[in-house]
Amino acid sequence: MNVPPTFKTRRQFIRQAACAALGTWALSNTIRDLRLINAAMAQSNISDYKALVCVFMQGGNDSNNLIIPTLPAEYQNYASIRSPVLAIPLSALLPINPADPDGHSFGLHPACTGLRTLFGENKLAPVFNVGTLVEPITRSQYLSHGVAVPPQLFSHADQVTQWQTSIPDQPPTTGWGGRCADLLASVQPTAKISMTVTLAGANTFEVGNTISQYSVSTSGAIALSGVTGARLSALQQILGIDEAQINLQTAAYANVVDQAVATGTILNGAIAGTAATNYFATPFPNNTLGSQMLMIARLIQAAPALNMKRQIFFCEIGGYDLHSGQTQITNGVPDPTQGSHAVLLGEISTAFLAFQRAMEQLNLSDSVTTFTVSDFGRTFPSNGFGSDHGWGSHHLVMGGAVKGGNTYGTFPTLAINGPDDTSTGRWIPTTAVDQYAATLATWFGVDPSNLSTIFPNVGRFASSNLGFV
Amino acid sequence: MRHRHKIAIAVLVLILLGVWVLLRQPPVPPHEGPAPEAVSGTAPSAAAQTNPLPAQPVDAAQTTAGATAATAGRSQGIQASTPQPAGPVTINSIGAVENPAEVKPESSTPPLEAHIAVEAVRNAIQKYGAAFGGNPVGTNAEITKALNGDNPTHSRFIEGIPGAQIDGNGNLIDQWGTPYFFHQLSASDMEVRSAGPDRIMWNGDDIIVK
Repeated sequence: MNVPPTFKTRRQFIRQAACAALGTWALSNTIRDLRLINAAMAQSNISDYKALVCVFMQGGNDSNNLIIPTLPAEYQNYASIRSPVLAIPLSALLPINPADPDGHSFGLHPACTGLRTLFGENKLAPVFNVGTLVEPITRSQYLSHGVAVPPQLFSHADQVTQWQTSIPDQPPTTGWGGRCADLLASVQPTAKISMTVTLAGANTFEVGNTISQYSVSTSGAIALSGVTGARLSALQQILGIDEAQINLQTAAYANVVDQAVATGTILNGAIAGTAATNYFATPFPNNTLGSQMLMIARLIQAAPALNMKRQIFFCEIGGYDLHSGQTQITNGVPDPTQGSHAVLLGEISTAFLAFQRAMEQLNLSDSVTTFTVSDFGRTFPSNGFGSDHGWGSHHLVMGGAVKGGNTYGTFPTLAINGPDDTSTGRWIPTTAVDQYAATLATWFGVDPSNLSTIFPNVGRFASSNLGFV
Repeated sequence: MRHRHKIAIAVLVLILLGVWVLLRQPPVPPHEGPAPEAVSGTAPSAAAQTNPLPAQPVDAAQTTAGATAATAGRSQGIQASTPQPAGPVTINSIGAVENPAEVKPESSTPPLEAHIAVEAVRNAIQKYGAAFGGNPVGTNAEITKALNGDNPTHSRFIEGIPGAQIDGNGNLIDQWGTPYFFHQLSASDMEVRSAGPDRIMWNGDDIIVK
C-alpha cells in the first residue's frame, strides 16, 4: 500500500514538489519526443520537393500600415485615430481587390508595389491578426484575466521565442521548423546539408531535437578565416590524423571540423553555377533582405545537387521597432508614406517580387512558400513619434501554391476599447500562431495526424488549417 | 593646544560649509494646479508641495487616440501649466509634437537626482521581476499598477522611490511630469526612459536606464 510522504518542514515539501514538477514537465517533453519519433517513421512517402522560407521582421512590424481598409467609413475610422503622424492618405494607398470579397476592401502601403503585383497574380495573401495565444481569448476574458495569456506579452525576446516555438505556455526547447525537420528528415537520407538553413544566424525556429540548423552567409558557406601559416599547418595535421589511432576527444574535434570544411566545399560547389549577377532575370535588390533571399534562391536551385527534398530557410530584416522615426517629418508636417517604415516595407516588397520571379524561372513556384513572422504588431494610435508594442498583426504568405488574391483570418475592428482591443489599440489575435504555422506545415508535408505532435496546442483552436495554401 | 583646537574647529566648519553648498538643491520651476497622487508611503516632493502638477484626465479627443498617446505625457492640463520648450512647436489634438527636431531643450543636462530616480524605477521593476519570475508588462499605467500593488503578493515596489508620482491616467511620471516610457526587451530586461527636462521623448536630453 502506498503511504503518502509526510513532510516535517516546508523546505522538504518544496523540494519534493519541485522534483515532481520537473519530472512531469520532463516526462511530457519525453512523451512528445517519442511521438515525434514514431510519427517520423510514417512520414517517409514523400518524393517531391518543397521549401519553406521564413522571413522574420525583427522588432515588431506595424502591420496596421501594411494593409489598410479603404471603405469610406472604415478608412475614416483608421485615419481619425492614426492621424497625423501615422495615417496614410487614402489616395496614396495601393488598392487590392480580394477575389472573394467579404464586404471589405483594402489598400497596401504605397511602398508595396511589388506586393500588390503579386496579390494581383494570386501569389500573395495577407493573413489577418495573427499572434501568440495559449487559447482563444476575448476582450472581456483578457480584461478579467479569465483566460491564460502568453507570458511576457509585449516583451521582444519572449514574443520572438513564442512565435518561433508556437508553444508559449512551455519553456522553449525547439522551434516548430526544427520539429518539422525532425519529422521529415527521413525523406532525404542522402542529403548533403541540413534541412534547416539560416541566413541570419542562430534562431529558435530551426532548433530541432535531432536536426541542427546550418548557417550560410549571403556569399555562400561560411569558411574558416584567419587560419593561415603555422595555424593552418597544425589544423591540417589534425585533420590528417588517422581517427582510429587517437583519443576520443581529438577524434571528435577532427570529425566536426572535417565535416564543416567538407560541407562548405560541397555547398559552395553546388551554388557555383548561379554566381553570375544576371543569373536570375529579375534582379534582387541590393539590401539586407534582398541579399539573403538571393542566396536562398541559389540554394533552392542547388537542391537536386545536394539531394534535398525538403528545405526550411530562415532570414531576417531588422529595424521594425519604431517607437520613433516611423514616418518622415519635414517642416513640421508628417509624411507617413515616407520614413523608416516605408523603407522597410519597400525592402520586403522588392525582395519578395524578385524571389517569386526567381522561383518561377526555376519552375519551382508551386514548390516554395514564403511567409512572414514578427515579434508582434504595434499600437494603433501613435505615441507622437511612432508606435509601441502591440500583439496581433497581419502577415503575408507568398508562392505559387498559395491561394493568393484573397485575404484570410479576421480583420480587427479598428476601435480603441473596441471588441478586439486590449485597451490601447493592441489587437487581441483572432488567429493563433499555431494555426498559421500548422497550415504551412501541412502543406510542407506534415501529415494532419501528426500536427498535434508538432503543435501540441493547436487542438485548442477552431481549425488547424486556414486554407491559404 | 587651545590654539590648535581652534584651527581644527575652523577647518571643520569650512569643510561642512563647502559640503552644504555642493549638496544644496537647485530651484524648482513653478507648476500650477493640484498635486498628482503621490505613491502611498512617500512624502510628496518639495516641488509638488509648493508647485503641484495637475492631474487632469485626458479629454475626449485624446481618449479616441488611446492611452498610448497619453503615455507621451501630453494632457492639455500638464501642457498648459509647464514651461514651454524653446522654438516653434505645434501640439496637435492627440498631443503629438509635430516638429520635435526643431525643439531646443531648456536644459541639456538633467540633474543627477533625475538619473537616480529613473534608476530607482528600473530597480523597482527588477525587484518585481525577481519576485514573480518576470518583469511587469503592458503600458505605463498597467506596469505602474502592477508595481503599486496589483500583483500576487500586493507588494508596492515603487514605495520609497524619490519623487515617484502617478498622474491622473495612472502613469508613473518623472519629476517634470512626463510619463516614463517602459521598453520591454525581455522578461528580465526593461529599458526605462524619461523624456528629460524638455518633456519631449526620443531626443538628446532623455534619461535612459536599462
